[in-house]
Amino acid sequence: MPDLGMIKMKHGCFPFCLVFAIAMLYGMACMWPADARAHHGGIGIEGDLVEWALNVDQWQEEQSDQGHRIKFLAYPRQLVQGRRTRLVFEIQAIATGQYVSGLVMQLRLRLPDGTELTQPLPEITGVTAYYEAVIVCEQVGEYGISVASTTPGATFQAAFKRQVSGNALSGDWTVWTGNIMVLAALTITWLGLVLSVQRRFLPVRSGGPPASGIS
Amino acid sequence: MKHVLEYFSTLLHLIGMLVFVGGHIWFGIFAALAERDAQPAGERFLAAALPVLANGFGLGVLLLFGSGLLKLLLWGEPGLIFLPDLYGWLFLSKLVLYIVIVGNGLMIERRYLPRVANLAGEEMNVAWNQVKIRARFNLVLVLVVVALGETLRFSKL
Repeated sequence: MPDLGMIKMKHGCFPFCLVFAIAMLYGMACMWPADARAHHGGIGIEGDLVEWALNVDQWQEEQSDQGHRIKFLAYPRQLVQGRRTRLVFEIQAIATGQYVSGLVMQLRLRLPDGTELTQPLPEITGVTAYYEAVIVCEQVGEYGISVASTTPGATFQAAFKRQVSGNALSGDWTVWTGNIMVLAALTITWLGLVLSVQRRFLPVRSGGPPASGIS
Repeated sequence: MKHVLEYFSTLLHLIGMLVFVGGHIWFGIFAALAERDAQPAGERFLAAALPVLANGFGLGVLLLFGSGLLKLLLWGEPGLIFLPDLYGWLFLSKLVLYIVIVGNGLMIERRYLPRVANLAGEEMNVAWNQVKIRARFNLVLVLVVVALGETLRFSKL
């Protein structure tokens, strides 16, 4: 038997003070106000649970061109064949920070087989500087998504790429990696649960000291 | 309803973290302090503390994984861990460390704790040392996971 024993207060309260101090610092760090970075659409109050509830289902990407910041949002986050996807583009002037409305915008899609489709990208009524289109991707593979403004004095363009998968559980390497990792975590958790429960019901070895309920 | 479930899963995640991380911290403190004391007290420590701590660790792991999976299901597909964003890489790191932690915990539970309980003398000492080393290794990994979890809160999606 190693030299073990019950805790006694003779060792002083230093460890407990240390733990308390760490817990205090940790609590203060948690209470530090989150950086407010919600875009003007007011989709979520960031830094709280609502933020995660509302922002996780969208893809966000940004580019800048000709003095304009083009923010690309896709709903849902993962493009799936045959499902409707909302593509939203938010335009902001970099110099002034103002959101730019009244632009004549065009959306160009480059399909995986090389076909190109062009359609107008109207501004959403009631939401300044939000230009939106709803598409249904019929092909699996990489889609090129380009937007361009042909408005005099405010010409710019931006190109993005999104992978379209056959179903929600397959897709590019990011989806595969996620699925494999979650499956691996599930497997080892299940294995641990089964073995742990099994051990708790194993008979105590005869001849040895009692297991004392140690598990 | 979604927000209620999300709140519930976050609450369970926090409780799981308290049980699992707190349990590891207390195990480290108990073990370090108990080793300074006499042998009979050490036996009492083994008999009283280890089963409770082992059950607590198991419960903590189940709460952490269950609540995490529930949150992923609420957000979308379980495999959607938000790669290739920074959030996704942090999430992936957490998952990898989680697998290592649970695997290490399995080794402690299946291999070393039975030896501590059933053997004596030098063999028992070796097993006990392995329990301590692996538990401390797990504690370090768990603290890294907690730090990654906090980083997730401030990383931009």
